[in-house]
Amino acid sequence: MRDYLLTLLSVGLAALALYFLTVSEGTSGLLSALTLIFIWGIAAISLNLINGQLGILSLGHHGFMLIGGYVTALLMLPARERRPFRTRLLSDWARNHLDLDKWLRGLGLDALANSIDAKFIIALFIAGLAAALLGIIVGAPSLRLKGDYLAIVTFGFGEIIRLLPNAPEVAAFTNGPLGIKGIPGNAGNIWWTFLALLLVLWFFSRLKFSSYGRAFEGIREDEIAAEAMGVNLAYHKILAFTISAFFAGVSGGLYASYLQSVDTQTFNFFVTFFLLVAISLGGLGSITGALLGTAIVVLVRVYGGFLEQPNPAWVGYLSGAVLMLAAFAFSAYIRKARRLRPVIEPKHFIFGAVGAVLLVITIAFFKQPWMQQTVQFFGMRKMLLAVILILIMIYRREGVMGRAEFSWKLIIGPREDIPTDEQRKQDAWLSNPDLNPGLKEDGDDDASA
Amino acid sequence: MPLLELRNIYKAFGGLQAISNVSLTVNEGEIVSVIGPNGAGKSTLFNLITGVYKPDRGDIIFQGERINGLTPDQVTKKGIARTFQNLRLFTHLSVLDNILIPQHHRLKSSWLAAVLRTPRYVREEEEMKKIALEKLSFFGPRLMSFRLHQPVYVLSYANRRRTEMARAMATGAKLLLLDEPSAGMNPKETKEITQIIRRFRDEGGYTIVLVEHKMNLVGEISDRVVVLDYGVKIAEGDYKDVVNDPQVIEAYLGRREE
Amino acid sequence: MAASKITSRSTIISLLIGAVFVVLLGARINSLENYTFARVVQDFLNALTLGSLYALIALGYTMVYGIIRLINFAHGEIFMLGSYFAFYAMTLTPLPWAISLLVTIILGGTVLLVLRSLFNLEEPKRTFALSLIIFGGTFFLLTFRKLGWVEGLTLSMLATGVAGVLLEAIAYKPLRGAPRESMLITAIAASFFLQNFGQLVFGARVRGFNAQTILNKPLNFHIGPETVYFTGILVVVPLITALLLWVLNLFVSRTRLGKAMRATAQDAEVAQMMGVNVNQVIALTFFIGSILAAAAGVMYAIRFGQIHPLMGLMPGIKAFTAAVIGGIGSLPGAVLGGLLLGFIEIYVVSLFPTLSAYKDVFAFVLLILILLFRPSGLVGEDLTEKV
Repeated sequence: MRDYLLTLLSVGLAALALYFLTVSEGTSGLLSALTLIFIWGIAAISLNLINGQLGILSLGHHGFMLIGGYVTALLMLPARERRPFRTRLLSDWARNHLDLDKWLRGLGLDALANSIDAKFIIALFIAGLAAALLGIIVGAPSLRLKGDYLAIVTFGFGEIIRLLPNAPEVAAFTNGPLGIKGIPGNAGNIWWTFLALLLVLWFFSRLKFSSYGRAFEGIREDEIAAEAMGVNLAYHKILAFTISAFFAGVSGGLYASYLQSVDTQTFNFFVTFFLLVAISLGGLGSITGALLGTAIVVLVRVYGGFLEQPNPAWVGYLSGAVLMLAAFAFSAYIRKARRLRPVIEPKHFIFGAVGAVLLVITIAFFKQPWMQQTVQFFGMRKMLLAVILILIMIYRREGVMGRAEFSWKLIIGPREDIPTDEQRKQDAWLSNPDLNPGLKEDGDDDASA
Repeated sequence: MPLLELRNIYKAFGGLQAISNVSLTVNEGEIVSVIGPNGAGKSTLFNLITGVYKPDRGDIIFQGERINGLTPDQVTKKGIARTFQNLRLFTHLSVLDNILIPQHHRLKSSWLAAVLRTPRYVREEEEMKKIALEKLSFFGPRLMSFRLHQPVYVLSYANRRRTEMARAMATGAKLLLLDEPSAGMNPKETKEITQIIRRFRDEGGYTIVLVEHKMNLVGEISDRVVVLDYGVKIAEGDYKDVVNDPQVIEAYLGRREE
Repeated sequence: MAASKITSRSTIISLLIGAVFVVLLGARINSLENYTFARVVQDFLNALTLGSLYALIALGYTMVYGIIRLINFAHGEIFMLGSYFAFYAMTLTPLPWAISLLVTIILGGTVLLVLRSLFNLEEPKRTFALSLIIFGGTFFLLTFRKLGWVEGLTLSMLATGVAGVLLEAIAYKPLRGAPRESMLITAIAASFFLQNFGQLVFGARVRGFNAQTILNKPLNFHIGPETVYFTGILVVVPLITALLLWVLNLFVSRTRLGKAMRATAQDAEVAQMMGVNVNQVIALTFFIGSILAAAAGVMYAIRFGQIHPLMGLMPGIKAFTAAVIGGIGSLPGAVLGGLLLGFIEIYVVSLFPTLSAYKDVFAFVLLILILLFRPSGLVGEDLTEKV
């Protein structure tokens, strides 16, 4: 009850903070960052169900999101955007029939059709269903394959789904490489994504702490044991894939609506990679971690723009030199701290040498025009994310949160897994013959559990 | 009607005949031990009964129903549960979760009901917790207070074995297959586990088949002993008769050169 | 015995499926009116070239997987690096002597360090001779004249081999013994890193790779009224591939290090106990795989005339598919798979022009189907896990 109230209170506070953000001026950057965090957060949490809770490495999440994005886009596309010169490659059939507005009016639900928000909810739901259908197909190989092979199969499915919209036959439904533009931007309003995220958080935390969530985690921990304990592997794997794909589709729809356009480049493999960084950073298996990781990663992407600003070329050379020398010093430091000999491995001299040469070049050619001309360092943020992911995998594979979830008990207590003094005393009494003479005859000695 | 009946089971891996022509009946309320030298096919026998492998030939009948060809989870639903020789617990989950997962297959609520926490689901969840505590109480209060919420990897080895047995019982099985329940335990703990296994039968009403290497444990609790060697059943009967059987002695110690 | 029976049965099934395909293909060729003998020759040459390139890349995948069970996602980027190294070696030379000296020191030093650790050349005399050759050779090559494709190829192979070893040392080595999924994630991250690193350092735009050599000179000939578009590269690629394969085969089967490699692939732990330096063998595997990828990269660039930082993606995926088709871990399998994939790609596009939009989709479909229904490949061993 206390926890329930605290949760309500903090959600209320978050909503209030969000309200003040929306009314105050000059926060549009922060607002769009928050919107992105919410949208990607949904996707990350859904990916976390497969990768973290079920323990299957799935690399096809961008495919689910793409389906969701396209379905939402097609269903929501307003009549003025459906004219042939706007959607050149779209078939007439798709143009005229794949229209939620028409469907609703055909069913006599004019009230719903008149409200763009109601339509958006319905479209998102259908998008989720379409993605979920695909989730069943993509999840099916998990019944036969395991580990890295399965990961590659999911990756293959994701890439097939990404490549298909450009093919001439499929372009009749997707408008091919041109993509679909002019989608109503409902998700641009932050309340949409905020509420959607709350719903997703509620859903996934309830799922995780239910019997089904436990079954998923049992499969992650030990598939053979889970099966021997009566868990139907096929059903639960497909179920997890379906649920995950559903919410991936919803987040794809939200993202398409946020961008007001969708094409195949919107949902490429980088999307899955991005989510993978987020959930690995936060801690695989933890919903809290997924959200936390997404927040960090999105902030890097949104506010890391300065990394890609145009700069004189020498800045690049200099920072390259500094990075290399820093890596050299860092490796030496680590080896020293771990008392490894030699302190500097021969291979690590390469870093030092490259760094030193870059430094020399920077100083020697500083006046040269090619040193002073401006260049833009594209791709720095992606490189940074890649480096973050590699560093996590090497140094802290459990991420920030590990598998732990945020809970009020964790902060305020009482912690059920830490014995109280009374329990400790009882436990000692149970196992220590000195305290409990009755144990002397047929006791056990597992005092240190 | 016997609870479990194996009729002329054969199983080969490639060229290796792991089990050949093994027949076995287990009656309700019995404790049957399967012994034999290493590689005799004891674990394979368990894997065949629980559906991990399918027998090449022969039938496995449980409560009058043919169960060969079923997947392990279906076998468990029918009422056969097992423990593993080298512990296969859900290491990062709490003790309670470990004992709730085997009850999952009896859950009637759908996943949506579980998410929505419908009254029926809440009731079922309560019921599952009650059963979990009931199974743990076989081992005394040591796992029931704070350890209930600790992850399994912090437990001692003996406690893990206990958790695994409780987990097998929680499936709601009638027949427990225990694969070396006393492995890695000291003599005191072995003695305790012997008593507990007997209590499984007397108080819990379970029928038990166990694979074991510690002969004093086997001798103390078995109603019947089955000896396997190279996948063939070479002896069956009372413990005393079996250990004096010349064929069994030969299997364990080899033939005496004349 | 039962296992071999099953294998032979599935081999027969595969052969049957293959036969059906051949018959269908024949029927299709018959029904196409303009499919003349000249086109058969043309397609065959193209397919052989493409297949050879896939085979070279696939070898890297298959060797690395065989040794450490890692799907080296970044292998396509190694291939990309190879072509860029050759590009710079061939366009920037001759360098001013000061820069040449600098490059020689860095590059030569790195190559020397890596080669020494790879091939046990600790003896001072050998080290001295090797350093003389490497430093002198690099300096000589870079300073005096514009490099041709042979020197470019050689330099690029060396440099890329070293890059592969560095990649392993930096990204994969700390993860020895980690779950395979973690290694795969790292490999994906490394792949992304190298792609973007390429875009940053080499520039994101497509560059023409105009190797002004006889390789690109048209040597078209006629069969009847039809022209067969022929250039030297169409012969050079299969020849160099065959040469490299021959050397690789000699190395793996005859030398001590090659034996150590095979032992590690069988069982790394036991090999280590028998005194094999597993770390060295793994580094060596990356070195050889990267050398082959570099050769493929340079020849791919000459063949198709342009390079860009993302060029490694699709060839990488297709070569991986080839490695899986051939049974990942098997060297002949990789070659076979590469050739097969090259032929499939060329002939499908040639015979069914309407399907060319689905060319890349097919690669993935094939990959999924093979993994699902025959994960051990056509000639590979069974990799299923034990319970």
